Amino acid sequence: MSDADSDGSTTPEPSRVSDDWLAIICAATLLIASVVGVWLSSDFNGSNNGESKIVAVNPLADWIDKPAKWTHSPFDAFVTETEAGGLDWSPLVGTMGSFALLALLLTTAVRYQGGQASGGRFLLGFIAVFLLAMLSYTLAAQSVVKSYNLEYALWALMVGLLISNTIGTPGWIRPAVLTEFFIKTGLVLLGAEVLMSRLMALGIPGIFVAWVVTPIVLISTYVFGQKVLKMESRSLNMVISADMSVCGVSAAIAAAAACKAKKEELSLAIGMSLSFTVIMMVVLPIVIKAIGMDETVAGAWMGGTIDSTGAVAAAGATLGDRALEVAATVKMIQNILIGVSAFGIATYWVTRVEKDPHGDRPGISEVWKRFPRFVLGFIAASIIFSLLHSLVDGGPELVDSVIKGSTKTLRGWFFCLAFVSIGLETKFSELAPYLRGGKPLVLYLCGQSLNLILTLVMAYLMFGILFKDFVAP
Amino acid sequence: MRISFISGTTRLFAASAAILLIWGWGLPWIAQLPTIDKRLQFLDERGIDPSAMYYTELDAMDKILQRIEQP
Repeated sequence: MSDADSDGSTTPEPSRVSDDWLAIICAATLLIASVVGVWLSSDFNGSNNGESKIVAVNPLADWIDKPAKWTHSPFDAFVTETEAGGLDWSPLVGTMGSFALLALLLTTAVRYQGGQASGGRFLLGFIAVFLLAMLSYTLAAQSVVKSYNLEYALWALMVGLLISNTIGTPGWIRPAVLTEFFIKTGLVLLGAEVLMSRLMALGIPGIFVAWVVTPIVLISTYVFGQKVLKMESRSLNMVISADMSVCGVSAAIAAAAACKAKKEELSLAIGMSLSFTVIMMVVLPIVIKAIGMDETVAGAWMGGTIDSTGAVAAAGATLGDRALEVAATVKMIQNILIGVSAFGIATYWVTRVEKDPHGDRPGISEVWKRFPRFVLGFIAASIIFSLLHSLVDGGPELVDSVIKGSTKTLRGWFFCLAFVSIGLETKFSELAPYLRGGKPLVLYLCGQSLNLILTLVMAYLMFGILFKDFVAP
Repeated sequence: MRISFISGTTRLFAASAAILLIWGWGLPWIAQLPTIDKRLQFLDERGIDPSAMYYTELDAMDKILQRIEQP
């Protein structure tokens, strides 16, 4: 994302390595440490009653966590009651562990990039940014809030905006407000969760609904925004198109980073996406029940159209187990599209949007020079973990343990830190120009309408007619 | 300058108080309403977190993937 208009200066000294490479190094360190930890702690040759049984253990799992779901008291986010009546301190211990690990890793990285003094300044600010991220997670972890898809990204933005628009972001916090760096590191970690081996989970019909319709909607919405609505900001147009057509917040983050969108543009796109997701999550199942649509077709339709993964599952479950399974799996296949879309958007941006002043297309060397390196880190993580998952004995257990035990939670912390940072850097007045004329809203509504129509047609064709028997209940 | 600072602090205090009131009392009260409580239990039983950003954050996916990948 572009921080060119940011008013905070964070690294006055010349950097030894770019943000992109530093993000790749940090994410790779966490991924390698997790893989090695799981590999050394697990028994991949064990047997149980003559049958081969693989037990994958992640030694970091007990030390990396976030505030837990709570209903009645926010303190339950950190200390939960066990079934035996005792107290479980693991959310608090895990949160503190996450802080210690991230503080150590990021301070070392910032110190390497900007010199010894910058490391100390970063650490001081990071304590505050992490506390705000912890507060955001606690607000997002309330049961009612969670049940309506109000993700931590929203609360992290709100907490940051609250500080910056009331007392202003204190100068000592600013060295730790590293939005781009947090987002890029989080995205490379996310790459490890993009497992290509799960692409064929629903066979050809799943591919058609998730991988054929989605790019058509993304490109059509972008072209509509440029040619019909004449949107001034191409990057805002792209981020809204991606988050509406692919899978909400995670796609918006990847697209924004790939096309170097401004932080206000990402905030706006996410705000719209979350608002419409809440509406669609409630309204679509009601409409489907009213017209008596087949459960499988309905699941595929919702999986392809509702932005957020969790909301898709919640909406699918209200229709039945079959709808839940198809909806969640279609959305999972669509999730995997994040890598391809980020790569496509980054390539389009450096070759077509960022032309030189004479309007000539850049050569290969220029494209390579401009191409955001973190996208390559993201793709590399995806390929390596996909290969580990599908080719190595015990690969699925190893990869699942790495992701669920540590990297998924750390990726969440990076994104949460990024959204707190965006809020800390943004003034409400900076958001106003993007809302003028209502073009972003019109773009979202038109794009989502096209998405609803095309996905319904494809879901009906694939799951209702052509592959009706293939997709057995 | 001084007035602006006080005003900002007051606004932050007011917003914090509102957050404390909503999250400390409002949402827990809503959570115990029968309709909401039923919905929360329904989602819990199925391992569904509607705020999940990615499929790896969804517990319900484990069972689904197990069924799909090991028929």
